[in-house]
Amino acid sequence: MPSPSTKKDPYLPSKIYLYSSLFWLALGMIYGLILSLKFLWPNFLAFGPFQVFFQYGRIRPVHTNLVLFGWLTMANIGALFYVIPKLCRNQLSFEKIAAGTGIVWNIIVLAGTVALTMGFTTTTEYAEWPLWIDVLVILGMAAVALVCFATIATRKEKQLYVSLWYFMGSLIWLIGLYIIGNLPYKLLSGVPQFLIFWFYGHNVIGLWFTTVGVGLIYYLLPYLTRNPLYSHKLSLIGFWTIATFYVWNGPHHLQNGPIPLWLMKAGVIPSVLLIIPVWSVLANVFGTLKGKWHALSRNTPLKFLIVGAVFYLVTCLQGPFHSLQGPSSVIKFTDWVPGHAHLPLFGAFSFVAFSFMYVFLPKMLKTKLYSNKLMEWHFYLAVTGMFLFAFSTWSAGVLEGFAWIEGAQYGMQFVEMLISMRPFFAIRAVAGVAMLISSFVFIYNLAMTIIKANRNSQNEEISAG
Amino acid sequence: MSRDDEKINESSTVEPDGETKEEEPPVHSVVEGSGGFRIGNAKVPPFLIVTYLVLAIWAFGYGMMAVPLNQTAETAADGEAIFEQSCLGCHSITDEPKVGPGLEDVHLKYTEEELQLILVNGIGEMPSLPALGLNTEQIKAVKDYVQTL
Repeated sequence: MPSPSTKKDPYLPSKIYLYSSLFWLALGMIYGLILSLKFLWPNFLAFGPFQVFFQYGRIRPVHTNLVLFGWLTMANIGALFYVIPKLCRNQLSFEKIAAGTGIVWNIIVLAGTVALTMGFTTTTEYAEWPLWIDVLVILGMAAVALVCFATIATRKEKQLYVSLWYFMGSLIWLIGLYIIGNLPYKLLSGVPQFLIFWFYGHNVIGLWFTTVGVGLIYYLLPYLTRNPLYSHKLSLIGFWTIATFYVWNGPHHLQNGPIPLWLMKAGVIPSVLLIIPVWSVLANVFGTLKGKWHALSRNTPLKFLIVGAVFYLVTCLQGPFHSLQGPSSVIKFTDWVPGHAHLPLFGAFSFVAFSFMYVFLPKMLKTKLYSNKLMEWHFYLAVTGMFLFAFSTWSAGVLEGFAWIEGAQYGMQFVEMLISMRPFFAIRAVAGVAMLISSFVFIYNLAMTIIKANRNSQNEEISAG
Repeated sequence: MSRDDEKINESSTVEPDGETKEEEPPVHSVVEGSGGFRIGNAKVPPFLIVTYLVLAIWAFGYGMMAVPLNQTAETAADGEAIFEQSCLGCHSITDEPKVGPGLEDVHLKYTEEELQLILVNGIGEMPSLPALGLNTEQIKAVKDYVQTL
């Protein structure tokens, strides 16, 4: 390994990813708010060219892709590039490639957003980007995986800490999933196509965002509490059971649909068995927290982390329950689903990313966070927003589901049912505003931290020179 | 790159005021792990073992015994009964018109698709069947019955 010059910033790749993720978060949240306003006023922004570029069908995938691949994936990779060398006690390998992938990833997200806005889509949920962008994604992720695995291979630490298992697994799984998930729209049709779509759609959450997030929880929690990790055995159980059961989650999206019974069972049983990894991880989290609960009151990053872990638990109590035939027959296709989907992605794993960035971004910059008060505001606004969003969509979803069973699937009854959901859509929009403001507070806080740190280092250089 | 700022056990992240009281770790034996982390070897809590067992038994039972929802639903809707309740006020089952036309040989007049459209959307004065509070299964039963007239 060539020894990098000491003057170079070892955190540059990580910084490129983390700074970019802040930008995409801002953009993604704005799109989210526009979407929630369209539920209240369907004609919102419906004039001139906006009528085309901001129609619901286009901005919905723009929103999901921006927050999933622009914000959370970039934040995750930025965290990987920081945490992996720390756990291996060495430097990031191939730093230039690592930094380069950061720039490529930004181009990918931009190109994907433009393509979706222009109306080019593959209609695969979370994989709407056109095929040529998918090729870039695979190459980019392969480069990221190369950097991470090379770093781990040259480690100066014998033992592989739990987080590293999760990270290595996630990097392999994401590439595999992405290839499998993005091909069938050309190769398959009908039910098999949707089976693969949902194999991808559910697993990109479960084997990338979840597993990187859990790996980060395992890193942040002992760090923030200064407690030893509670149980090695539990982390082993958690890792291997999520690796075994998660990939089988796809078919439960076609529950009660045109798939054979054995496939339904093959989807439902592992979905329910996911209780094993989730409860094992959570038992490990609470075990590690033992004796340090008092720290929660004053340590805001720890608050984000623990509330994130609790949201993860709640999501994964819902998930197995949804996958069963009865509940699925009510809530499928209703507003319940976006409520459930926001819980892991915004509630759990964005919270973990927030926690990571609050703790380690100032460390990379050798400075202190700009404002602890703003961090508190971010926390309370984000939690409030998440609760309002979740409960408004869940209530609306259950009401819609039963109304449809009663016959309100057609004609005027459907429209009447939709109109009667307006109060819930209004709460949902308020939640959107709270989540948007909270994110902007977060971005402002970190931007000010970065600006102040850069000013300080410039001053130091001048005084040193 | 020095790791001075990364001595996890000495940093005062728990108590921001700088107070660093050592507490008894909540697990019995602790080994130094990588990256400065200590790893405990607590046993799997009993409630989790019970959970694992219950889930394993459930999974086996579900795999053996689950049947699709539409096989467990209450007996299929009775088209004739629904017709008598909801349609007979306006339609006779002979070719004699009442408020609406008589429905004898209606299957010759309309194809199945056309019938489906009429039942779901209504036609002229006739309300749609969903508006009468009938669900998909019931509408299908009515359609099947009407076609036998």
